[in-house]
Amino acid sequence: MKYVMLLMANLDDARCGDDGEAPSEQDFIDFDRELEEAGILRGGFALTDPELGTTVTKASSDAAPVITAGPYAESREFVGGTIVIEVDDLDEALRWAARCPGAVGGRVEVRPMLEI
Amino acid sequence: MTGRPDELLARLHRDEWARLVAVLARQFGDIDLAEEVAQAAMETALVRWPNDGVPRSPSAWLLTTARRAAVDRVRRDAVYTGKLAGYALERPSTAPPAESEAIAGLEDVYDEQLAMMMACCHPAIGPADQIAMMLRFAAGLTTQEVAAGLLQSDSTLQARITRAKKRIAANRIPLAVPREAGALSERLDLVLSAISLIYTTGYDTPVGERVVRAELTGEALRLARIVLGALPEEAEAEALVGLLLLTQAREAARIDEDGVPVALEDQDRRRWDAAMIAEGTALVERAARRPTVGRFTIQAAIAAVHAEASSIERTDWRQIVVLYDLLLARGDDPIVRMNRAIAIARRDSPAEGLVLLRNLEGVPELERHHPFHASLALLYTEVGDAEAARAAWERALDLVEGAPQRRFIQRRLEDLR
Repeated sequence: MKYVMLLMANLDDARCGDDGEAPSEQDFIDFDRELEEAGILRGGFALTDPELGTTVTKASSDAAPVITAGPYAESREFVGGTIVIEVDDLDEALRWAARCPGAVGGRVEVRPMLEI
Repeated sequence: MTGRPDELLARLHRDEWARLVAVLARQFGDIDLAEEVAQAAMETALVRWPNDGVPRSPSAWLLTTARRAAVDRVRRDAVYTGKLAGYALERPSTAPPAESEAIAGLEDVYDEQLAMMMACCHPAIGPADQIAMMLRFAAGLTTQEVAAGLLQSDSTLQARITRAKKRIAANRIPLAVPREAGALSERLDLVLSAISLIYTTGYDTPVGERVVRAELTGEALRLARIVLGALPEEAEAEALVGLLLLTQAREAARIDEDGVPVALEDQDRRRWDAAMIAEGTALVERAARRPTVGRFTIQAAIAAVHAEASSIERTDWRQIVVLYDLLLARGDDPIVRMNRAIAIARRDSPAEGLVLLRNLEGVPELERHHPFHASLALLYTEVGDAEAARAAWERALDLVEGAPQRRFIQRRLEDLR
């Protein structure tokens, strides 16, 4: 079954800045390699900083879109990236999530992928 | 097995529904399907047994019939076929069961039941939902019985069960006992905690006319025994069975003829159940000799010290304080600190215990906990401060809704006049 690891971080969290405690880019590259070697990596992406995002919303399907700079203002949490893995069950997915550098300081949300 | 087929079936439903569903769910990887075919097998039996006679092994007959229904269902239904395709599924034969297969029924399925409990108590399921799932699928109570036991409405309970089952299916939470030692002990801890919570929920009912709901305390003990049956080498499982037995042993002395609780110091200890104490103590002693000592082992050891004492005065409070210190060393817990203060009051003096208790005033968890105020009241009485004792009993009374517990406190208030 495919699971998506959503790598969540918080704008207020000092550890997602560039200080020493945050996981480094190399940590993520190493983790990716580990998943690759285990034969379970199915995709994923990393995102630029949330400040660079643009938000689009519509009050109804025919309303004009409202475009605002930056992420959704009321949420301090943002998605930093995703990793898609294919494993047998949730326990295995959670074991991998616990190894993900994104779990340090931030959090990794594991969600089964909707198979359509 | 004897008796009329419908009576027999009612009893089988009670005793074996959970085991039947656990075995089927594990085989087919789907709780909904397991429930559906278990129900269908029970209904088929209700029609056939009165005419054909009761089979030699009724539980094996039910299992075989349910399995066939499941296979039929899977073959007929493309949705299920797709859903189950991911499981390495050994499809059972649809040929008539051989005699040996028919005899092998549900007699020894601890592992399947434990696997079901491990799924019910998966950390991906919320704690309140875990308890509901355990009572429904491990204990086999009906949703109405679970709702009544947990003092929740049928619709709330149904929603909990539906949500948890959906989480199990959508996330593919394995119906399995974790293989790694670390994962196993973490999950076992959740299962044992859930069982312990079921027991305490039944042991001290916060509202209504009855203090004890024996349907919950009894199920908790039964579930703990199943876990121990599946994992006979696990000290904490051993200790939990011991703890529940030692607590259950006091049952006859704990409630008086008016249904009002009796304080530990006033209980007629001759009415404690000697057989339960013997079995419980033996389990605790065995658990305590194992290399790792967990929290249930320590709690059970405390219960064992109480059980071996002939009175409050002859209780080894020195030992009890040591055991509470061991519990606190594992992690701070206001309730444990409260209990330790009471033990200090008995070991040293009420005044010293009172100082420790008063240091805990203002801790929100304890301020809401009526035994905390009751303990303060008792120690205030013992040091001769009737005014403070009355105030503490009144705070306890404000927190208690159950009629018997209220009568207990009102009697104490009358004693102070």
